[in-house]
Amino acid sequence: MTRHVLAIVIALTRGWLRVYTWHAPRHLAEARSAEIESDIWEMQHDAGLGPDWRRGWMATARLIEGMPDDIAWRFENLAPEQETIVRRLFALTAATVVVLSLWAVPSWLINGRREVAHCAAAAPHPQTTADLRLDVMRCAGAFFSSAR
Amino acid sequence: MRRKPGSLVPLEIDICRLAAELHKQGVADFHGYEMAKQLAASTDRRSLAAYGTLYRALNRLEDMGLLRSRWEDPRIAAREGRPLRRFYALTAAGRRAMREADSAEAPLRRPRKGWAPA
Repeated sequence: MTRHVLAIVIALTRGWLRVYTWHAPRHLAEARSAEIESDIWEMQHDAGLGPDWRRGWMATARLIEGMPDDIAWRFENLAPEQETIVRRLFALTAATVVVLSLWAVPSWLINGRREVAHCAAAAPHPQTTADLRLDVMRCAGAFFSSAR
Repeated sequence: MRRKPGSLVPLEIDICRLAAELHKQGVADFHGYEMAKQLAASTDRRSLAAYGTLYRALNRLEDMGLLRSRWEDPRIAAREGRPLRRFYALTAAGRRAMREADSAEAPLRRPRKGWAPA
């Protein structure tokens, strides 16, 4: 059973390797693959590691803990044409966020102003300064009203 | 957070230190798995360094000129029935950096100008 677990983890490691080296510069992808294969073999044949269940656990931890660094390595080793694509994607995403913000914030402001205008129109004519102040505070709060 | 150019993270410092110790013991070079075991032994950790973390650190140290690497003779690997090993060795710049680190009062975090990244 534990031997199957180790085999599955090793297969997952190889699969993940193929994913993050996909379309990477060939010499780098081949070098990384060869190093990982060598490491896997060494770990499988290291008598000092103990039983298979321990190897399986260790292999799983090594795979999962290293994933962020694998992704970082991949972004550090983009092919020149891929760098352009990634830069454009980032720029497009940033531009989209800016445009959405520009659309959302004025929309919120316009709705808020409308609520304030309605509140002011509906308020009775203040008799005292205190009434005026209360009306101002209430209508200012209408800007943030959840009824919109 | 992006690290400053030429700076080393603790793992990279540990790799260089262990490489220097191995060099003193007459072990000129090491492969990745061997370094993973050395790191685990030196820190009393039960688990080995993660694949991505370890090999990215080794690649980075090589790019900085502190380590150099070579692939072993394919005939040796074929004779022993195993995949090719990639061996790393501390360069002169790496040994010098570790000597400076050992003699420095503060732990090495930022390299001096003498061994800026290549």
